[in-house]
Amino acid sequence: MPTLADLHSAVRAALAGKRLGKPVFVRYLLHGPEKPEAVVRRLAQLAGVVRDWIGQAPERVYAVGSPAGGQVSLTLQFREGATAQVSFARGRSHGPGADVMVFGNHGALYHDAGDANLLEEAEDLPDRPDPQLEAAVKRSLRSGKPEPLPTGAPP
Amino acid sequence: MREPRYGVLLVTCSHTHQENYAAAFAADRRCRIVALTDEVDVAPRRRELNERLADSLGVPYEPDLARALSRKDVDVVSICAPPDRRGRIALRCAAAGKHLYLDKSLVPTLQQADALVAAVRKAGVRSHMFTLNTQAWARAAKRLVEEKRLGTLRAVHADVLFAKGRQGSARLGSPRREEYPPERHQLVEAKRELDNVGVYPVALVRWLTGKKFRTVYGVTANYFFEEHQRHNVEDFGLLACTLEDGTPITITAGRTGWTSHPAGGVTRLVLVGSERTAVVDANRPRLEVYTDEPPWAPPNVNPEDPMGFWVSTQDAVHLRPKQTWVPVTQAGPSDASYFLDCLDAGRESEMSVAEAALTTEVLLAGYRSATTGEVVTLPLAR
Repeated sequence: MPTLADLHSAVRAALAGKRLGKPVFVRYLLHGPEKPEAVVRRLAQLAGVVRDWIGQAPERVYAVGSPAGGQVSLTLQFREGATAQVSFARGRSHGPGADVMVFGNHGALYHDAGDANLLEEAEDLPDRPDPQLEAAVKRSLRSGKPEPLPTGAPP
Repeated sequence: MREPRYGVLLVTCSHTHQENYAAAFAADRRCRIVALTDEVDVAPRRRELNERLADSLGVPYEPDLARALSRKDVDVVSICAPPDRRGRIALRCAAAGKHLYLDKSLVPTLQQADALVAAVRKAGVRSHMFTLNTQAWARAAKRLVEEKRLGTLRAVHADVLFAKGRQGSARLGSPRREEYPPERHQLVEAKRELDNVGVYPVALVRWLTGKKFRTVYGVTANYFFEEHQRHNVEDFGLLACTLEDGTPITITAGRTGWTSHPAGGVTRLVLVGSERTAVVDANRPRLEVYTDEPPWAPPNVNPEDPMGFWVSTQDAVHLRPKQTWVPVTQAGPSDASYFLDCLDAGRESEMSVAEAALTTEVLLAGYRSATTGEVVTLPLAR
């Protein structure tokens, strides 16, 4: 069974081939069983993955929803104008899985989980979430506003 | 055979969605297209386009809207005037006591939306704005929600992205600077796509949940087309919202280019419920057909419509249908037929002008948010 890390590697490889042109927008929806206390960390981790795909530094993040409710969506705005929506959905029967759309200025790639669940283990993603991203997500959830990220944040 | 019971008047014709709506009305035996018309002082090119559709339908063109509205055999007016003229024309039609079938999105300003809602209420006429809500896949989503098969709805993620236009010409490298209020909604080469396409997912969410939007955060962008950039209108937009009960909603809308999708574009809803999550996709279920036919290729660019907005302009450049994905479910009755059903039953459309005005407000909030970078709380100040 493929893992999320496999999916991320495949997307990275597809983007490296430049077939889509320059990535401009990513839609990432992760379905999972995470407990409320793990949701922000998971989203920050995914936001970091998306940042690497886009290859631009994020400048703003806005979060809607609540970890306690199991539904949180991030809107990320990047320095050169790219955007992303990264969402976590805790649901009962869908099972773990990921829907991903990446739009480049010349094309798009789609991964629709459909009925095929991806193995979604905590240790599946080796990268630790970027502490600046994680902190900004928490700030946005508290403030209900978009929050800036420090300029010069990676990549 | 029974006589048609509704006379339909078409306002503003070729090179608008009237091409589609006229075909839908013409196919329904309950009605008869009696004439085409427009404002008396339209530009010569617009009049020529209007007369072109009148000729193809074999019905008279009445160049004076006032005279056309005085006809006793007109019951329904289908209005496809461009957004900057749509509101004032709709007001005249309502005042004349005609039922309104309106192109989307409703009107470009809150003042016009409020005035139209009041005019329809005062005249006691029925009204309806075209959306995707009447399509079979959307109806299936509605049943899932209404029958509580997902439990309580916890979140909705909606995408409507049109795979049209030759992408790759936009200049990238900096965020778009939005303006409020938005202007230049419909040009020959470009439309404001958050408004033009975003009206669909916004209307879907409102209709499916029955809840009003409470907060809106919006971003607009120029990712694909030089044409949109040249006219300073966005080709892409996204919204992150909450409903009045706090339910989070995310929406993407835009025009992403002919070759960005195997069919007409991404059109899907992810409905996250307390008991179950459902992905309702206009392109599912489907057959996938692969043959030794030549692969699909985008049509030549029609300078009268480089983005592929209208049927007639794409016919002119021999647009071939994409045939790799073949829908399994039947398309079902048209949106126009749905409105005639409402008239038959004497009931309001689920997308009446009053409902459509709510989508206008959400879209305007999106533009305001994209301009200020702040979260906008609804309702907007009057």
